[in-house]
Amino acid sequence: MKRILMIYILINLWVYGYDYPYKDPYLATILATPVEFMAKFEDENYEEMKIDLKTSEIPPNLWYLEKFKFGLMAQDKEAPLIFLLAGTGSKYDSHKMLTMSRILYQNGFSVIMLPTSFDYNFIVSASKNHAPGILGKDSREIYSVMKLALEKVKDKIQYKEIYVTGYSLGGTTALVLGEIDSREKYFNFKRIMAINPTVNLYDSAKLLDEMLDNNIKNEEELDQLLQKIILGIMQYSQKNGTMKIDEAAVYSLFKQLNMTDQELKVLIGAAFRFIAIDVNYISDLMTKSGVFTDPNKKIKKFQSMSGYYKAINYSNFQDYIEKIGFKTYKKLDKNLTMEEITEESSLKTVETYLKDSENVMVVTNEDEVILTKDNLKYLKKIMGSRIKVYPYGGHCGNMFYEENIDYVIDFLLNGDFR
Amino acid sequence: MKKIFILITLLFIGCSSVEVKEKVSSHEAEKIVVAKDFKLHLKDGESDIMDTYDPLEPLNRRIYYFNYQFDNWVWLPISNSYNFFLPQTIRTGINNFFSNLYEPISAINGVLLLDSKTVFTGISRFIINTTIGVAGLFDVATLINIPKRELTLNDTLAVYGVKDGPYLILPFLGPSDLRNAGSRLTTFALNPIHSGSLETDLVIKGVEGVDTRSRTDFRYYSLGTPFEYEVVRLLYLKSMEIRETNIKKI
Repeated sequence: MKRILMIYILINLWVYGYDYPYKDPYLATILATPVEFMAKFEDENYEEMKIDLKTSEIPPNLWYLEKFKFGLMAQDKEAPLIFLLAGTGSKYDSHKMLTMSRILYQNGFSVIMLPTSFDYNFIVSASKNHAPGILGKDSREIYSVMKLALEKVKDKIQYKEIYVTGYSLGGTTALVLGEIDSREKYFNFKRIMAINPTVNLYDSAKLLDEMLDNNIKNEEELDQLLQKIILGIMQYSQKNGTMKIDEAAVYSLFKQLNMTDQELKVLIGAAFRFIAIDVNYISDLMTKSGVFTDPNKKIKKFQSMSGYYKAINYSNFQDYIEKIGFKTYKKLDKNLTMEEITEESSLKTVETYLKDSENVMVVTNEDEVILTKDNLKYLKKIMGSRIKVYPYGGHCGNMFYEENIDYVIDFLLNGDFR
Repeated sequence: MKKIFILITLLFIGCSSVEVKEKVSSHEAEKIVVAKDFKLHLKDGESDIMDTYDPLEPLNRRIYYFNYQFDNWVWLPISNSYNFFLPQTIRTGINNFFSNLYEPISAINGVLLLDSKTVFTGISRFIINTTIGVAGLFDVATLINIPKRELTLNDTLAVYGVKDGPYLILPFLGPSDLRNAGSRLTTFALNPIHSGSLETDLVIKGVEGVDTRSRTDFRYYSLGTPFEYEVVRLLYLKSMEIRETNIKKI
């Protein structure tokens, strides 16, 4: 009895003092952080930059992806420079990216905003083999794009030190980039911060694939959920006279819709599935794999796309790897097995580096929805004192919570492992 | 001039046949085949969510592209300058002014739909905002708790069974359909502001357009998916359908 009481008190002490509002990991993932609890920042604008990498011929219907785009938020004086890497499939200027860039800018950084390997622009115009999925290979491609990006903006910024950070897949990529740079020494990253990283691409993808597959029967249910949300948005905007969907709108919408945990899982799974659908299509088209698209058919600029959507029919990330990714990698290495690919897409490939590096830090949550229990255990084991695990926050839900941001900024600027 | 507008509108509406709509979704008509698997997978059914009636798709896609170019060269530079040079207070005033002009139209549609609440809010908001709110520049009505209720001619026609007709991408304006385009044109023709010359009317409409564009975050070809055209179409048609079914609840 005494022991149980002790454990209870310890748990309470551990959670005590961390007031992030959403204790449910799925709700946290969707609702993120209410405005009043967020770190403060100004609405700074960014400049869109373009690089023409000419990796291969761009299909006419994807003409708008011809050049690789990234963003720059430049201080007008000498300032530390930070590369910020987006999560899976996210554009460089998504809502999360913009908020994080503004927070970093507010804290004195010049920011280069980059997507990661599953972004459609990256797959089409920056990747050499157009089939993301092997962490090491993808990160090397990102590393070379970073060099070009820096070259492109060199006249617009003054800096002495370079940092790198990212969230979700961007966080994982940042850690691998740290390892690459420890050998190549092109940037000499001063500090590396990974926010809510995945440990193994496949474990996380499987969790996210199943969030949708195990919680929904058919498209009709997805359709009904979509209709429910649209109606909610309409009622919200009629009531408030605004069409702006910000944190406050999302919050009140969810309060009104009163969603079940299962519906929340479906939403998170669906958001990820739409990225998987895009990757299935784009990678198939670019690699001429012929799974959903006919490699011999001439594509027109104003190509109708609904047939492809139908053909892909909610294929998930695992489908992509098995049908398109694996086939493409095998052309380069005949003896490659699925097991090897899975192993290659884990932080285990850079374990020695992570164990020995004093300038690397990881922030994650105890209830992170994209990590298995083993993933989290592994991360704690190799990072030791250089990991901060918050009791809750889901996947990136507490990323902009003031306390989290203070911690991240403090580490980046002072190298503090509190 | 006004007569010509109304004539065109009638032609528009005449093109779409009138009949009372039965609310049967295509999904109810076709049962989705689900595999006899213990775990049901989304992929076991057919995906037909993107199969929508869009006979003018090749043309629509080209207009979509035109709108992107127009945005780049005309709309966005103007609306960026508009945001940059005019302070928020003035922009809000302009927006309130235009929004106030639609109150009587909402009220008229409220009469046609026998929706007394909308008639009341439309008339009272218009009177309060035009007088105390200085010609509609200040939204006093919302402050004293008379929230806006918007009803359009398109809503009225929909309830009375006019079919929406084919999906359209309108030049400069974006997603629409035949019925909605006709309704917008009529509303424009009946607008209470008439300077006497069509040119001036169009300039006023242009300012309204800039105001609307500056408050809309949407950018063509930047949704982050190769299925952008289909997604926009789906969201437009779904939201119109939902609005039609729930017009009294919204």
